[in-house]
Amino acid sequence: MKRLAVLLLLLTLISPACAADIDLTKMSKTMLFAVVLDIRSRPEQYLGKSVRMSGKFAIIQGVDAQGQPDPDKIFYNCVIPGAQSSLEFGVAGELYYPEDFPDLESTITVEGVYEKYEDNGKVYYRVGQSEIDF
Amino acid sequence: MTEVVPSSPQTRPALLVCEDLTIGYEGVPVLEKLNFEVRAGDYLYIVGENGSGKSTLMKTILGLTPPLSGRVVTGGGLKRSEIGYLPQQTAVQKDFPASVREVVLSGCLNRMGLRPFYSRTEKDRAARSMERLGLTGLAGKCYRELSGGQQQRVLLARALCATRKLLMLDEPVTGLDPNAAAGMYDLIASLNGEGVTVVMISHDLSAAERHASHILHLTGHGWFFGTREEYLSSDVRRRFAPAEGGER
Amino acid sequence: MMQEQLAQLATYFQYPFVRYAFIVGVLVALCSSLLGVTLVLKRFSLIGDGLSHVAFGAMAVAAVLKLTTTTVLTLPVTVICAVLLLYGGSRRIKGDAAIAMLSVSSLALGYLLMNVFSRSANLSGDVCSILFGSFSILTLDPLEVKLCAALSFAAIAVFVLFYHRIFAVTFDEDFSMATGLNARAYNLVIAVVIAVIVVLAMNLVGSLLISALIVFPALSAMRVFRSFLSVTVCSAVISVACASCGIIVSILAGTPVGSTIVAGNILVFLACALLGRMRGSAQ
Repeated sequence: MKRLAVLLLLLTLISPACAADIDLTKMSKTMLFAVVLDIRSRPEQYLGKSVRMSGKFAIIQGVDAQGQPDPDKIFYNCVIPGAQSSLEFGVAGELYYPEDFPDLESTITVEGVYEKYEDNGKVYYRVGQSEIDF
Repeated sequence: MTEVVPSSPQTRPALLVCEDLTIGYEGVPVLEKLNFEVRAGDYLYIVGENGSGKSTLMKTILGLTPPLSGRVVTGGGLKRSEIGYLPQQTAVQKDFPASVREVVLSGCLNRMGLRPFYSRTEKDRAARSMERLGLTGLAGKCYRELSGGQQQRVLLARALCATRKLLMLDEPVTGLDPNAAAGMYDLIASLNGEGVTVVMISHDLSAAERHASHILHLTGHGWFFGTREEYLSSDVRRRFAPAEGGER
Repeated sequence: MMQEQLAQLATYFQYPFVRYAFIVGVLVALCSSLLGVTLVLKRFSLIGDGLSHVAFGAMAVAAVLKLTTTTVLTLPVTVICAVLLLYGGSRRIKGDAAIAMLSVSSLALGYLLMNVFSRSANLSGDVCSILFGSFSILTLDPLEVKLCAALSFAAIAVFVLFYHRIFAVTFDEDFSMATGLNARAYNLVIAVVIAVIVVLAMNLVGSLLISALIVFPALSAMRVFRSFLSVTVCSAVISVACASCGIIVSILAGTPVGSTIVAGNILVFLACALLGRMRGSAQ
């Protein structure tokens, strides 16, 4: 057991740096569920880490301070079926919905850095500054 | 190791006295107003038909079942934890993965108080007990691989670890072939000769007549207690029909 | 291929919850296998199964109440039921129907409660996950990890300190009582420890599979070894090996954790049965 732990530790050090810190596209289903749940339950620990995920595109309609739907606020989500969950993402650069975005429920791959942001006084977390592949 | 037994019966202390003992299950009495005593060095046979309450009596004396009325008094410096017991084997035990040494050692637990592990004393005690019963060669063997006779000897060794004063045996020769049974009787008789007081439940009247010093005969209607001589010349023996086996 | 898998495993181990899962998994496997030998020999296996269903019911209530540390509720409820079922001494034999009723009622009411009150998007998935331990060990919150570790150590300590007495009471309760051992007290201790282990094991293999975790290592060891001590030690080794391999295989291959561990245990059991038979015929 001790030798196995040392081996794993060494591999941790010598394995080449991944393109993304957290590559959800390469994970087994079991790990995927657990990692996404962990990201959602303990978001502070993942701030600043790069995340790569793939799933289905979905949106959430944002509201303004009075609770009325605000057409300029659209929040983008990546629904990850294997994890039975979804992660929100924000995009880098100037992109307009719906022209620059894929159809709803189409498969997308997102890569970005986990960050937090504020909306109507509340703190939310998302994979920010992302590149979308679709 | 052997105890010195005073020669005169009257000077030997009474280890067990049953006073007006009524025993039974769930309020239903099986035996009423039983009175007898066991003195140090005695060899008491408890005989009777199935259902006459022999096992219940033994369990009541040992404190496993409460009496319906009356009481059991221990004397002669005998502590509850100094009684060795050889109960009837259960099916679980016959198939139990334990070495002979482990089983015999478990008889030493009554002397350990709060100590978690066995010390040299207990291990020596167990070794002597096994040697006395000729089990040293089998010490490492698995209990479930032994024959019926060997298993009974192991349980007897365990009981000896618990005590050198009083042994209570519940039908120790059940299921043994005649040779093994005879060997068992001889073994127990020799232990009694060394000063161990023996109380044994048995179906075997002829063995009782050969070895016992006292006999307690339980019938469905009453009981007889006396020395072997008294028993041999009593009415009860003439009327007694040996049990035909069957349910307990 | 192997190199890839090991590298992937190394990245997985960077996550704290994977490390915790490993530690807690090994501890739970260890203490459940130790008590498993006693449980099997005292013919309590079905009671362990019944208790695991009670724990599911309690877990359902905890989920409805939105508790993150479900152990806080499941533990007392399971302990109380274990004491009621096991502490009765010889009266427990009549409790066969009582066990069945308690067990099935807990399952049914638990599922009912979850259906009525839970706002989860994937209720069946959640329930299945609790029943079969698909990911539970990987999703423990830090308090639960500490609680599980502490309880495991306590259970192991109790087992080691009371080892000889547990043996005596398992082998021959009547003899132990007759020679002055407080068998009732030890039965109580065993009942409480079993309840604790059932609650801990639910995190590792899920409610329905707890019996397998407790029973299989003991049965495997009993096929091969001859003394109570060697059976106990072997049972512990098998359980820890299957749990750790099971966790590793399931996170690499994407299989549910609970079933993978039990599958490992089954393979080891078959191997031991074969070994025992070969050894038996050679004698």
